[in-house]
Amino acid sequence: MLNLYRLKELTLFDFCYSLAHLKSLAFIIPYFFFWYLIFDNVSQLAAEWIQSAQGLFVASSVLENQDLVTRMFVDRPATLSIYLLISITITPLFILLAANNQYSSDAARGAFRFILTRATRTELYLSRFIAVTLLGLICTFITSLWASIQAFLNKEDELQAIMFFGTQTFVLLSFYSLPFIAFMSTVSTLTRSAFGCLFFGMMLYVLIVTISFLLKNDISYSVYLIPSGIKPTLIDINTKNFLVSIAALSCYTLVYFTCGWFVFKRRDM
Amino acid sequence: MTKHIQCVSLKKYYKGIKALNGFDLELSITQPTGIVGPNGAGKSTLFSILCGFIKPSSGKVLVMDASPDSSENKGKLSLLPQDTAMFKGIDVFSQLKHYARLQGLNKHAAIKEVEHVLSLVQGAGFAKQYPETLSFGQRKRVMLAQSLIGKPELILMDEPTSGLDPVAATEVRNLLRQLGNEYSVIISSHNLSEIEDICSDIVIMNKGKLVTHSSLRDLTRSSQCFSLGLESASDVHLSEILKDIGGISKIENDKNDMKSWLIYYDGDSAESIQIKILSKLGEHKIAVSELKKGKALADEVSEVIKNDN
Repeated sequence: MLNLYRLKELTLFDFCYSLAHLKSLAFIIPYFFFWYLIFDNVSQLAAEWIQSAQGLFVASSVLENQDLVTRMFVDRPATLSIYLLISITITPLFILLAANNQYSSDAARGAFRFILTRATRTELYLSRFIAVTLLGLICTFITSLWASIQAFLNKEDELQAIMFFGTQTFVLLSFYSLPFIAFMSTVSTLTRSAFGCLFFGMMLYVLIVTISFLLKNDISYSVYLIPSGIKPTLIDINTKNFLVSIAALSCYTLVYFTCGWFVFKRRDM
Repeated sequence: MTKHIQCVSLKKYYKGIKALNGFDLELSITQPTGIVGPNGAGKSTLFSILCGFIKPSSGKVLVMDASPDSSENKGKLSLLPQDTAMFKGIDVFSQLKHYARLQGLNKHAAIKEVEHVLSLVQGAGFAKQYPETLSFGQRKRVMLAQSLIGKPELILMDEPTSGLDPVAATEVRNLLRQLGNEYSVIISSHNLSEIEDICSDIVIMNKGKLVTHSSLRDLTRSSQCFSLGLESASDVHLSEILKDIGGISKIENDKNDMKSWLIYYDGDSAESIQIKILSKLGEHKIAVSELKKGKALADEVSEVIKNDN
């Protein structure tokens, strides 16, 4: 049985612990530095350029869908759409940094031994997942807010519309990060050090991407091995696609999370 | 009476090595209990299984009538591990407070409890330090403190004094003796004099199996012999002095120091032989520091294990 009091205590402890230590700083610093560079130097120029005839032509040829390009960069605030596109592309990389070492080094060093006489493995596993998710949510909220403010300052749309699309983008990106966190949870249960976890996570992700790419002509469903497979649905935001994306991402999360949980339940501590 | 531990045909294999090989034990702890055995006997593996850190390969194990990893057991059992790292970069007090909170104490009660356990182990002085900055002995005290948080029903202690200097080891032993009256404690140790000093019951393990489980008194008194300790080394072999006493079958110099002796006897006349030994030694002005029935625990354990091999 899950004890919610212990779950809350474990989550808060890990969240506060990781905030103050290298564990999450290795993610927070590059993450905000990257978005600072994007928002400070690129976004306004990119938004202006992409809304020009030349920009729309280039975007149409890249995304292979002129209607989608119009919906994304003309009908909606361009900065938010650029933010969404870049986020979807780089989320796997940043989550690898944020969510690696959820369990590996603490389990190897034996620090979990003091926890496991007081909480169950399920509570411990879930609490670490929630703590990383919380960190991811806060960072995504800040950058989504940043992008929305940028779009408002660029006068790309009415405030209400910007707030609506900003919220929608934030929710989508939050759900999009969940499967990657769960993926790294699984990787972390299999490894015994932070570096090993990061390395193994990257290798495994590259391997799955390669397999899905190689098989996509023979088995079209192979692109759905990773959440990036639903990218076309994710970027084309409408109510139906929004709900489909959230449902699909929840399924990915559940599958990856369950795999890790099975390993963690059986792992020697 | 609560059955603290029930193990039935417990087996744990590590890549072909049989750490536990059909271990059976039923323990209801009323007095501190010691677990002894040679290296590789399976003591630490047993503790790890009881705490739910590792899963047995087969067999059944119950701790306080529930599976080791069950939610209802959490907080009732605690462990003093032999050597385990705590979380780096978090001060001792915060970590202990976290453990207290996990045991259901509110913020205020958790702080009080941590202050109490740290004072028990005389660790208040390094409460605000990070574990990685502490000496081995200080870390051991902190780990001992964490095992006492929240008054668990059962405490497992793996080598509680190993690595400590003699003064610290004595302090910890005194504390353990005191805790033995308040808590149900199981101590695994290679230091048999420590077990003899603190525990009343003993479990002997060898090659992953239970060899014997009895009270310390029964075990050491099972041999028909006396352990005799002299204040100073004797100049002559005691068989010369005690040869006239009827009923003595053999006299051995236990540690080749001419101070510790084992005197074997036949029949049931232990008390009268004991009196005769003391009077003979008195006649020869040999001061006795100890004369007790049975062997020292170390001798008894090594004999039990030798017979098992």
